[in-house]
Amino acid sequence: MAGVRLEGVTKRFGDTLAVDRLSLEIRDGEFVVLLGPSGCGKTTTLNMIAGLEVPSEGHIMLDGRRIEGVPPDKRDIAMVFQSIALYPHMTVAQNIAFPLRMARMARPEIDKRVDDVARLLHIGELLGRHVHELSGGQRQRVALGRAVVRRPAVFLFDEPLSSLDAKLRVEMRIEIKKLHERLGSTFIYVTHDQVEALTMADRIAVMDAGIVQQYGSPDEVYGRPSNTMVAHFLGDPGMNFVAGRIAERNGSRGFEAAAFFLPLPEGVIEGSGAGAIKTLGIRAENVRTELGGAGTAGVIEGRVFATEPVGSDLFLDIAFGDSDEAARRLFKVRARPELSVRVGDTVPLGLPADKLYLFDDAGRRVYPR
Amino acid sequence: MATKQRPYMSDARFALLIVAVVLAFHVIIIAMPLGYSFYLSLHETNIILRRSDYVGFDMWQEALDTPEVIQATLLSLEFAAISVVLSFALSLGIAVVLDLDFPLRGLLRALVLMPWAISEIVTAGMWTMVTDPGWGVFNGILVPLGIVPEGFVWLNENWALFWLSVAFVWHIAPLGAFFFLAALQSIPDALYRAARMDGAGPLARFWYVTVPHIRYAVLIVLVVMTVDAFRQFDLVYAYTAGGPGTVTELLPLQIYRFNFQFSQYGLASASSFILIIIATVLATAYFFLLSRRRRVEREVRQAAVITG
Repeated sequence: MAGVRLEGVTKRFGDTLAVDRLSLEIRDGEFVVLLGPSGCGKTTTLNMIAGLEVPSEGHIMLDGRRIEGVPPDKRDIAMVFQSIALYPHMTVAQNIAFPLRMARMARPEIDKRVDDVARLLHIGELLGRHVHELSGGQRQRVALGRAVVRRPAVFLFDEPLSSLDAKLRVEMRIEIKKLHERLGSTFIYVTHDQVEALTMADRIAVMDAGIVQQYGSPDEVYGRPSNTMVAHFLGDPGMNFVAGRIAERNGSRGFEAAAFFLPLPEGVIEGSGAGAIKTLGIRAENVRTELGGAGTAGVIEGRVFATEPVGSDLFLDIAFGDSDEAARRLFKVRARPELSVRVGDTVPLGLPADKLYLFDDAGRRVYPR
Repeated sequence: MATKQRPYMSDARFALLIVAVVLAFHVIIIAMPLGYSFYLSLHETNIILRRSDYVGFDMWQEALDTPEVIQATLLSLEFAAISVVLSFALSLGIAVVLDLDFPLRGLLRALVLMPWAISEIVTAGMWTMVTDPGWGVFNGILVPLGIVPEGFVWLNENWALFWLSVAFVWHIAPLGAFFFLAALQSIPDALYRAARMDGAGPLARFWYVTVPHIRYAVLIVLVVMTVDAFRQFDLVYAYTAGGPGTVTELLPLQIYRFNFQFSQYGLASASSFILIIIATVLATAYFFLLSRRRRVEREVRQAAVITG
């Protein structure tokens, strides 16, 4: 059992800066997801914790001791790979036993541990099979088994579900979460899939351009994104943004965009405290299409550019204006599937003040504070 | 002019057509000469009397009773053994190095293949320049340093076969290296990283990750090199011509002498069948040796399915 601490970790590949002075504290037994688009430095960070890459600068601590110079197998860390990476010429049992054999463990002890793991992961009947005889999900289970059998303090996962089909991914997500609960070890999980991050993590570190943009619980990063990158990356669809500025019209202060003016209630602008507001944000599910008994929602109008029914919901792609620019910067709205609208209709949209976000010219959230 | 609508050829027909062409080619350049050779081996031919008498397997018996044939066969085996061991090790070593990431790797990969592209006759000429006692490279460097005496004969009766093998290895190893390199490059990098995490050192990684992936390349390389060593004539003829004495008088050279110098067509043909049989036996042995493991694994698996 051990926590992991990164202190000012930097990794350069030639002239490319992959990870930039990253500091992160992962508590013992915590499930932390490193989330970000490809090339954001999350896998490099994981590889450095694993010992497969050496940091250019900074320290990595496991349970309080520095491990930059410790070889991967001596770190008490196991890893599950994106490509699963099972040894193709070995049976399932041989694959799981491999790390123990390399550690020169006694045969009876190996057999016992392999059996325990097989029972834990429900792969007992597969032990004699070869890797090529397994389905994608079974292979993933075996790969988990090869990590679990070592009883490491820390588990690393490098996008382990990305090669599975959608249904299986959901299944394995729960399986990994349950495994974490049972083992109580520290899990560090890399993914670009925000749903995986939100469903499994205790805390999410959202990464972009080699930097941690925000580190917090799923509720925090979703509900209080620190900047536009985080706000857009989490959620499906990501948060809607409209560019504009704070202005005054007909005696009321509000947000002025190219296509509309949205009056803002007292306290919002003052609450944000700055005059540098450049972007208004709201999530698709918070935009109201039915305005009966409207509360404090400001109302704007937009044209339906396209509709995306997904069964449980109906997503409307709204364009403000007729320009190509407007068609590129669509505003997504989640509506009830029964809503009757056609492409080209102009619809009123309610933007509740308590669901609004305001960002400054650097993309930082200034409201809510 | 009315054109007849031509039906599309079915896959099976097309496949047959392609195979038929290859088959015809094989019949003409392999099966027919082989058949004729077999026919010759059953006859005693007298070129002066212009007679050819059927003698059954007498020529085969005579080949086995001729000490020169036995000696040449043993020498060929020795030559093949030295050559295959050396070229196998060298080609695997070259491949492992070429698989590493370094600048100008592409250029080096192309250059390494050069010796294989050079014909055996030219190879023999080059190695003559290296080992000649009077003006060879070896003596040119080593005599002034006092390591070997003036006019040292590299191709002496004890070492001629070895240097002949070295010349052959120089020529053939690049081919093996390319087979191995192709196999090495098919190994996913993630397997090596997984093995590192699992505590496998460099040797264990080579044994548990690399070797299983290159097993079929090993089979191909062994077969190609063994067969090539056994049928090697050009290099032997041009480099040592069987000498000194008869210490490098390999079987193909012996067969050549029977046929073209002594006009013993029957004996030459019968002897060449010894060559074919040995090469075939060895190739088959490799095949069984290297595919045996698979079979055992399959049996274990079936047993596991039945009992489990």
